[in-house]
Amino acid sequence: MSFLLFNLTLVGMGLLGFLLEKIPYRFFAVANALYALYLFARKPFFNLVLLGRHGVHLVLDDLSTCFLLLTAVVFLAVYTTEMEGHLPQLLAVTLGVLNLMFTSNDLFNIYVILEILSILSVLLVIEGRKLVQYWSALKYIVLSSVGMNLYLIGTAIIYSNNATLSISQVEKVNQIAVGLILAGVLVRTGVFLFGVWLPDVHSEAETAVSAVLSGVMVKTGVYALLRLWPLFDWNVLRPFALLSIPMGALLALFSRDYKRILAYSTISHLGAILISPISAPIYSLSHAVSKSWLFLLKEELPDRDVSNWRELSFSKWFPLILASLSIMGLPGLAGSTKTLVLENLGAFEKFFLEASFAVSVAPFWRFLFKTPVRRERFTLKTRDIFLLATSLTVGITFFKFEKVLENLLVILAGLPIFLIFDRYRVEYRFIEKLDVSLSLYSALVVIACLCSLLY
Amino acid sequence: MLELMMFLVSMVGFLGLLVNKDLLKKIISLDVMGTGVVSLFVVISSKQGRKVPIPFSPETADPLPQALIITAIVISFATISLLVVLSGVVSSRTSSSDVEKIEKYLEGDKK
Repeated sequence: MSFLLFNLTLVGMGLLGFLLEKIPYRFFAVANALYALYLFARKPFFNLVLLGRHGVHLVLDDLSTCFLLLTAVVFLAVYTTEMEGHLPQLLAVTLGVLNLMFTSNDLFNIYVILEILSILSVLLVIEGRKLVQYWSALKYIVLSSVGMNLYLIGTAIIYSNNATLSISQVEKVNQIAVGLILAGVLVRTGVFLFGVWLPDVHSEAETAVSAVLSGVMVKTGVYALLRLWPLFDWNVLRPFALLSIPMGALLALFSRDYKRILAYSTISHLGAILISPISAPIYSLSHAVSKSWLFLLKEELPDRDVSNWRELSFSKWFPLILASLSIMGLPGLAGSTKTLVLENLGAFEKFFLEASFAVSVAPFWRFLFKTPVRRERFTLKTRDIFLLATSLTVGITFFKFEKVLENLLVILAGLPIFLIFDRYRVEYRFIEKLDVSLSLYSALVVIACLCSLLY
Repeated sequence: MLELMMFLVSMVGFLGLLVNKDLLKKIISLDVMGTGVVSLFVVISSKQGRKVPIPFSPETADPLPQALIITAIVISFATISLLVVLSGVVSSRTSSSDVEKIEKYLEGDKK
């Protein structure tokens, strides 16, 4: 109960911030992080079923605490930056809603919160008042509300068969309904071809917003899928996930725009997250830490176009390298948890995944090749120290000595791939057009339903 | 039977979203799709009876889907109004409401 009250307070304070000025939101972010740590350490789990067997179901368990911790870390890092306009208030509301998202366990609650989050992310994206931002937000909201309508149709079919909404009580499962639900949720995760809206939205938004969107917002879809897991076979998602890793990575490799590289690489890492439901929470956490770090670094970097960086001062270069290494999976840093993804897989899939991981590492070699210039005194910001500490904690907790060589080999294999593709520069945005992405989506809905019927 | 019809209504909305090039028409199609979903829920709630569920008895309509869908209506109202605002801003800045023209304008804007 205290958890719900705390989050409602957060949302209320966020809304109050539109009337009053100077509410200390940093304090709330710190309080939220402490609270998440408390939940993680003491595990005061609850399992609330409201409305009897009709099922409004809230659950706090290990899965939730992992995602709550992820949210807390990203928001703590985001609130260290200077923000303009209504961003602090909106982010406080988002924080409360996200916390509530990560405890819901029934079909309708997930729907309501996903819709609130899509409205909130649109408001966050258009905070910069640029035309591109308006347009990308519009594309996002059209696609996501189509997806959510399909989700509702699926929910209606499941409710009419089972007379309950709680996922743990569903007995008769209609496969077409599940296909529609999956198609609706997958748009929110932004896996390749479902997530054609993602590069535009994540790269055009303000920096703090991009960090939240790429770090936490896409993980709400992953969380929903993990909760819906009893309804479907995880193998349905595997083709999308396997396609997503190399495609996102290649698009990132062909791009030169710093934020676009990061956005495409988010697509690729989401594929890796969706490979297996067991490693998904941990890998989400590690991806959120590294990716939001990289996005927050954008503030200090000279230009969005990477090829224009003539020289970087050492205190800018050093955190960039650390963050890149963290996402590439240097043993001991957060990204090294990618070896967890490979467990319990067949030989062919394992080989394919290792190869695609090597491709997904390649875009970050571009940052490693930048040379620093040492002029002023070397300083490290609190945000960088904090994120480095988190990354180290995650990396060391899941450190396995026998996996060190594997991680290093994947990183090294990225080097030749980078050198081969380095000379190509492609800005191919045909599939990101509104009409094209909508027709792609209509085809994908059919494919998702068919996949769900087949398995 | 009625359920299938409501499903078809929402699919017609989806089709309209694909076919129309005008932003406002797209938004109306999205609304049609939402209306189809709402009606589907209403049809499902009337499965066990059509009477008003106050006071509740086994012959009356199922109140839960109706309670759910009133939430969904409010949410879709918020989404649609946000969409109208966004498209208003976009079309006033690009002086066009045609999707292809807007995208062409944006490409020119980048160069």
